[in-house]
Amino acid sequence: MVVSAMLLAFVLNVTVFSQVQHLVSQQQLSNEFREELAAGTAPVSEGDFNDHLLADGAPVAILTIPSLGVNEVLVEGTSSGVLKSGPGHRRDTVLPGQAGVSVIMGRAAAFGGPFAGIQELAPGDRFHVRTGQGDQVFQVIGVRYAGDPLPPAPTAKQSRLILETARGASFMPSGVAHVDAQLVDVAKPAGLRQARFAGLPPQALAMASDTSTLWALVFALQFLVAVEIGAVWAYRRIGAQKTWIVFLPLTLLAGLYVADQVTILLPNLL
Amino acid sequence: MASRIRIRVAGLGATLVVLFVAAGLSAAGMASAADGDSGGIGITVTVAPSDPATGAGQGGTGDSGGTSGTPGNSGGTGRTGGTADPTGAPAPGSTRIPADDPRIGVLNVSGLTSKFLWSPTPADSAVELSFVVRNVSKSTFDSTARFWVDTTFGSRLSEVRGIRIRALKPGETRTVRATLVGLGQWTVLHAHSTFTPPPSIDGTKVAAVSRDSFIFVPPLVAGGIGLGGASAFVLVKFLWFRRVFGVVA
Repeated sequence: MVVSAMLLAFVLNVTVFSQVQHLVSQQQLSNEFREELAAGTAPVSEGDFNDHLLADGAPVAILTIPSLGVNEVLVEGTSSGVLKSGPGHRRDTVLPGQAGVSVIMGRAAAFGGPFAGIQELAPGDRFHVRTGQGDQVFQVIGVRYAGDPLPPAPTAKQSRLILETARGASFMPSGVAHVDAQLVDVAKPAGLRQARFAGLPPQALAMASDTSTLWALVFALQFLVAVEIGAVWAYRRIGAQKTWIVFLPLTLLAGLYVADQVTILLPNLL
Repeated sequence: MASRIRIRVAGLGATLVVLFVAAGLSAAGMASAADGDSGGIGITVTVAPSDPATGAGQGGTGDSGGTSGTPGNSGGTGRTGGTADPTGAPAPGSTRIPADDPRIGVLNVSGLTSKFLWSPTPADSAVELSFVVRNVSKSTFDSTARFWVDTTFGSRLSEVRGIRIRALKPGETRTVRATLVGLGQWTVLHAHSTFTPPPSIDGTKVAAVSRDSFIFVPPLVAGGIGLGGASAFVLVKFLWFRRVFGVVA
């Protein structure tokens, strides 16, 4: 019963509840970021308005791709847990619109799959990224798979944006798809940024899983086992009807908790 | 007795829920079928005029039919040539790069876009595949494209190769589109394309570019059989219920 509850909760979490989680997170992030834009405190570097390092999951921009119907708040960080909320900005790269190369990773299927359709972007298509430095218009260069030649590096006055997501069947990724885009206008100045690629944690790279919260999975499993033991005890003491009423919601809750922690172990672009 | 009635009513209710969901999926499929092009006319390569400035239209290629698939599977059908507009107006899917657009590299290619085309005949399902190619070099060049569709197990269902894309001019964006037929009732399809440019453009070595995508297709035939069986089950249960308990619907 424990295994079946876990499997059911896992499938439900990845295919249904993760989409709802994504919607809720995006609404909260949108509220927060719009307040920052209105106050002029939206981040323009790796630090916030008070020069504190941006926390994982902090909103940094709004990505709008009209041709795909994408309107997502971008967050700081690219680990699997962070990308549950929305597409994430890789910490070692500049913010979109700033001079240099910026990398944005997004999920292809779970948690709203915000980047599910980015491979449909054609060369010449345009989209917008609103940051603390204003509205940035990007033009798509093309789609790139592993092994394809890289486009020439941008000059000092140019800004390049790379969107990354999983390619392959939904929930069965087989690689990474990159969409290169170039800022149409002159690049904005980049703020101070001390993070470097070599210093990124392994879970921030493309297709990486996040094992930093394994301890939470252990507690979740203990909770699920405790609920099941309680259900068996109650079944013998108070009867089937009352046991179902009390322990069905508890089992579902524990199963979803476990499933949520297991989902974080999956590739971050899934 | 009462508990048995409750169980049967619950079973009836569950069956109706399943039927409701199946009917919803079927209706969605029908709507897609109404929207899609079921012509099954093989391949169409959309070609832009060679140079809108001079108004000299460039016709598309009209090569022979596509090659056959693996034994037992139907290959892609032959294709019509691209449409040429004698007035020099840009053809659908083909544009020129605006003067203020940044030009990066020598050749830009999009991902593979797929669109499933429904057919009332189970064996005649088709899929329309397309990608966009943009020439950002200073040269005009010819190239070829190939499309094919596999099952999830890797067996070939349909393939068309050797599509010629002639005279792609500097600054031109062109959509290469193909319709592959004979896909049957496979639920998951793996579509591929390969765009093969000349080995060198403006002195830059260029390799073939491959793209792929997965297509999920609801199994209409299996769904229809299931829906029919469920309908018969509900009907029998309803008649039994009415005969035993005298319930009038």
